[in-house]
Amino acid sequence: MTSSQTKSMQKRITITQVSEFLEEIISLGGEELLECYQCGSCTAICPITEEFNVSFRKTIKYAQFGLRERLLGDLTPWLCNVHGDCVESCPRDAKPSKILATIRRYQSIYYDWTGVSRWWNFSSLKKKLALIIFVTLLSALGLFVLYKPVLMNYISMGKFINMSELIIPGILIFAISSILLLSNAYRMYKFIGGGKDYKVGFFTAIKSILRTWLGTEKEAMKIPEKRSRILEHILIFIGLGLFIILSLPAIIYPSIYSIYPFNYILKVGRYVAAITLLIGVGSPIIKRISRSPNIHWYYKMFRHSTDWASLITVFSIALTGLLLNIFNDLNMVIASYITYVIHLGLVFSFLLLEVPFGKHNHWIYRAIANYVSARKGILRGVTHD
Amino acid sequence: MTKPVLVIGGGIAGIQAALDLAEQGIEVYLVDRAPSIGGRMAQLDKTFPTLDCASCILTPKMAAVPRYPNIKLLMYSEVQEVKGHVGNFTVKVLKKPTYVDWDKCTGCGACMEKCPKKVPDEYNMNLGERKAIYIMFPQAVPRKAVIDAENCLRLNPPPEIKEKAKGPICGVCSKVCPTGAINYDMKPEIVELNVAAIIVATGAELYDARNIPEYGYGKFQNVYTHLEFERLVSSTGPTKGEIVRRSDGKHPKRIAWIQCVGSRDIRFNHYCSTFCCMAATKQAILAKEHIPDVECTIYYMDIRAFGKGFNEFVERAKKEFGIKYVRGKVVSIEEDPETKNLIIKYEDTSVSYMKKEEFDMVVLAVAVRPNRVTPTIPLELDEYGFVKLKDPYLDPVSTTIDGVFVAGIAAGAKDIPDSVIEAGAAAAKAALIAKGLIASATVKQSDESST
Repeated sequence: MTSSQTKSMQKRITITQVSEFLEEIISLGGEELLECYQCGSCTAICPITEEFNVSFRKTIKYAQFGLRERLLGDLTPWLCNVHGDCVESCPRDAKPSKILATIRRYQSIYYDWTGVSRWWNFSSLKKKLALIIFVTLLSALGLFVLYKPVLMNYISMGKFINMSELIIPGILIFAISSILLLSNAYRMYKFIGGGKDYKVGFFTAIKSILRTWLGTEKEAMKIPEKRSRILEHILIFIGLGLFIILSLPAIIYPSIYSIYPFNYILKVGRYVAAITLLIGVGSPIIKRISRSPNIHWYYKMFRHSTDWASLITVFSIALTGLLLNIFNDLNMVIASYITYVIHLGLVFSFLLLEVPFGKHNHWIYRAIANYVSARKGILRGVTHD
Repeated sequence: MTKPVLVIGGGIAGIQAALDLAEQGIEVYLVDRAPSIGGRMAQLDKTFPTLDCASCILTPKMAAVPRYPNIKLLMYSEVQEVKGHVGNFTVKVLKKPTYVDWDKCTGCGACMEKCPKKVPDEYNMNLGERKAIYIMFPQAVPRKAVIDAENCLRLNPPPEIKEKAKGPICGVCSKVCPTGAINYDMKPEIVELNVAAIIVATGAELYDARNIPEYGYGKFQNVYTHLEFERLVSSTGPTKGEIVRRSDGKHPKRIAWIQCVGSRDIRFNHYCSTFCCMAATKQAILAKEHIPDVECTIYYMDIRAFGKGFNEFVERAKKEFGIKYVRGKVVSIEEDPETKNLIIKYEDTSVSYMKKEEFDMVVLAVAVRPNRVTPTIPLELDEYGFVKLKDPYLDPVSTTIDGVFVAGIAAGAKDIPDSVIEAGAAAAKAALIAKGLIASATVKQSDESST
């Protein structure tokens, strides 16, 4: 047997493999996968394909045929911004954007080298919430044990907990989270062929991708049904962003909390961040729970346990953050203390679970996919260098 | 003793069934709501896959019908009521007033020439105009005139004229008719028939393409249905066979056919309309024959060329006529407001990305729908209105009612040869009952139970 023959033997996909693959996809939420008859409506109607020379139909075909390698190397699912036009124009009611979300879940399972993502995506919501609570309580307990004397002595924020003492565990958790996320992101970059066959320069690519992305989202904002979804997403983005910005000085230079006017600015900032997040996450949660027929189908469609886990985690972080500020302003020492410890515990579990393995890794995968597609010249109308 | 059979619908299936029954000496009542037999096939220009002229093969059959003394034509009539059971149906047929004494009418057409009222012509899919008194089409059988009472100035005068006028208005047709056949006082008439069996061949209509807003049918002038295009290429059509655009009357240089419009689509109709792939291929070839430098593209999801000679026909269209076939469902049509050209959007699945293409004319292969079968027959219908079959495998022309048979598109989308085959099968089944050769036990039993 020649070496090429051996190679082709190895690459051959068996029917059992395909059926196992399909079972995985279906249990990740892609029940409609086999409905698709490959007409290409989804690709044609998609606002993204106005800018990118990609085919979502082809991605779905890879999945239907069980072409695992090709699917893992496909960056197309990450270009989908779930505008939902495909769902409305699909002649088979196959819900293409739901299939693509499923494929993204499948891909992130294999982009993760630790295996946690597999557990995260396949386990039930109850199990996920149990793990979140477990990690939260464990972190809270750790903080309690480590900082009990410091904590009990202070009342006002900043002095209430000596921030400089949090640097070490904070950096540690942040570092673990970043290493996990970045190593997975690097694997993803390699899977989708990043660094190979680049046709467009770095700056041209970045510039054109930003312009394209803002352009399509601006167009989508003009449509009322899409507007609320995009606004919710923007609120979550701003809320989390504010949250990170406001936490940084606390870690780097904690005494800023006692310097006028920064103490007031930071206090107002914390309230704004918490309320922004609560609205941004609360609105989709309410719409998902609601049984009203007026709710857009979008909220009915994305009900995978990972979606719920991410919404619930962010919501709890925002809620405990808001309560913490209120308790602190009312000088309720014990309540503030307990809330703060739980709040930090939730943040740690968010950083350790949700960011590297859950839904909140999508921002980095999307950024990489957009960047690589722009460098490879998949973007329409971008001149090749 | 041989009892008569009722055939509802005078399209190709109804005609074939009537002829097959009459040939066996059975008396046939052929009912059609139009003033002429012929049905949808009479609107077609050519047939696939041989490109035979449709009227050349249909007209001999149509002409044969009135030559059989045992075929009673009940034109311009509708079935009102069906009672009874196999072997003994009592049917009430409403004969709508034609306002023309057909015994006197010679079909000379003098009245049509002089009639002052013009209305859209249904036979030409409203592309052309006819008069309020009209003969449906030149080859009509029977070739007799009818007055469309709704649009006739005499029978339904517009209120503003009615107020001014003192006596009866217009009446031009009665003045010009050389045989004095016009009778404005004709009343609707109910005919009662006693038949042994019924053949339902009520045929098809098109799904309303206006329900699919993304294709802009009804809004964009140069978007046509395939039946409209058929009239456009036909030499008996409104343009005498010239393919011209509705917007500016110019010959199109690029024509697109869009397949599966409203069929194979969960949002509209699940089923495949079966003949559109071949019809589009035929129409593209006809377009090439009419305008040699026209560019024809067919946008399809799957080419279903399943019949005898169908695949060869498609191959011939590609090789001999240079028809382009592009795989991809068109998702939207936009109109250039200045040129009235149409820009279609689709994924070319051979290259896997979205493309936009400009055309002068777009023809939609709109889904076929069953005509509303007379509600007076308690037939079981499926969700789209197609007649349910007793056994789709081994008894595909029997309905759920004993003694009622179905042929043609009434039972499901199909092409001409299949309709003719079903008509023959239904006629054979009906003949057995008409001649009292089978189902006598059933007849007897139900006779006893009803009395």
